[in-house]
Amino acid sequence: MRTRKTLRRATLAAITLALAACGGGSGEGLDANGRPLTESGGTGAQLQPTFASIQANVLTPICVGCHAGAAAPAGLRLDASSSYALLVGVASAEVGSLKRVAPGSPGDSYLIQKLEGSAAVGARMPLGGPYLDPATIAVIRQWIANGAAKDGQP
Amino acid sequence: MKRLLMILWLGLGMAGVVRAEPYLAVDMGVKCVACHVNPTGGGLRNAFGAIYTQQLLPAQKLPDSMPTWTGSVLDRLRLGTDLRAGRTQTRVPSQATVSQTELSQWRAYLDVQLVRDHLGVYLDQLLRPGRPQRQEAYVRLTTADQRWYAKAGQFYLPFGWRLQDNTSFVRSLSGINMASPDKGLELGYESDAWSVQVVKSNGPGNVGPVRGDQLTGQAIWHQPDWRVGMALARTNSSAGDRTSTGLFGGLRTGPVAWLGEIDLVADGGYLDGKRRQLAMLGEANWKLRPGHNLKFTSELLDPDRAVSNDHKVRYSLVYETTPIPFTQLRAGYRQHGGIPQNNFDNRRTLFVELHLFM
Repeated sequence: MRTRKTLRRATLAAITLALAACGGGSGEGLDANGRPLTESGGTGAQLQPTFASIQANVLTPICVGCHAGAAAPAGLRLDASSSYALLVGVASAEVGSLKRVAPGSPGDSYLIQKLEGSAAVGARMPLGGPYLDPATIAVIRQWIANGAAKDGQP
Repeated sequence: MKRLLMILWLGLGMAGVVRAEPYLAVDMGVKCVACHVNPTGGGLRNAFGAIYTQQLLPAQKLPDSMPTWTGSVLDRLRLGTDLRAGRTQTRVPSQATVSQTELSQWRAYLDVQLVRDHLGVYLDQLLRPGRPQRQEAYVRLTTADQRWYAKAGQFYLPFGWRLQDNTSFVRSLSGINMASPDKGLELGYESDAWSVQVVKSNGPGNVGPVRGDQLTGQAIWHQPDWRVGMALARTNSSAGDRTSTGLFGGLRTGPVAWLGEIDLVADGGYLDGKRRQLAMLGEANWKLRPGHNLKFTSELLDPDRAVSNDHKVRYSLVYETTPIPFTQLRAGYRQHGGIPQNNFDNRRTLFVELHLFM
């Protein structure tokens, strides 16, 4: 009986160690967002108050884990091909009176409220954290305050 | 005491019609529905679930002199609540460590039996954070033999293990979790060995300008020491069609309850074409002694099977103790692993959580 118990625990420990020994992908041939370099042309520049920079440094690496594909929460797909059209000037699914991004008005943009944790409904994003640091949110605020343009410099 | 034993016996005997937190159900060798009013689990506990949390789950039971909470406040009205608050410390490589304390959720549940055992109204309301938000609200019709039921309204879809952690890879990839309710009609069948659900719904992602519908189905075969299930979801969407397939199972080996799940998703909602993705979960729950559980979880996510070297992993070691009824304390360490270029995917998290429930 005692032997069986010890064996069971040893098995559990062995499986645990075996599983824990595995790591993430090597990232060879990929950009920081896990996409082939041939596809993206590379990323990694410092965050700027432009949509392209916010997409590459925030939306794609952090948000797309959940907000992608046909099952994206609240229908909000934040991959590079969909995000702008579903963010800027589009009513929030949770608070219909607010735009997800209201150009020129970061304080009235639901995206900012969800990132800062001041939204009237639901959990702060990214769900479960870690939340974006104030400096990153400030850059997104600045992009919205500058008019939330899709291309070009603010 | 006799009454208590009778309720427990009834609860175990009704394993074919009622559900619970997955590892607890596997550990008990009963169907998940043994503890919850909702036929597909989660949320409000039934009489057995309420008594289980006081007599079997905690290290220290309530004194016999104290009345047992069954969840019923009136003849046909049942109430319940869950509150989770905690502190999390996250370390992202090359960044300052961040700590946050928050009330992650406070929910209230209500079930009214309009016609006893046949027609009920169920409500799951998220009270915090933010202003109150409806999660589930549906009417449930059950046949006289309690085998067949229909739910109409807003509810969580049945797909794989209904884990408490909505951010687990299998729950975030499938998009079906306890943060994404959907509106539709669910038909269900429950027997001693089988749980089957078929749902026609809008699709959790079909919101706002995105249009479409979803068909979801799940079947689970239960045996005393193990169970296996399969789930399918087909989403038609203006954002791209999507097919999700899940295979999951549970096994009890002595004091350890094992859970496993594999989900495959083919999603047409990407500009570069249909993307095939994979998520896996393996979980071991070691009941050290009553009221004390050690949980180890290993997860893998392949965000695009056509791309090599991009997979992510997540390992969690969590200690859960329920020292007294209605109170659970959790402490854990979570390590993420991803490509070295992405610091966020290689973060480490320490957390403690207080979970109060009734």
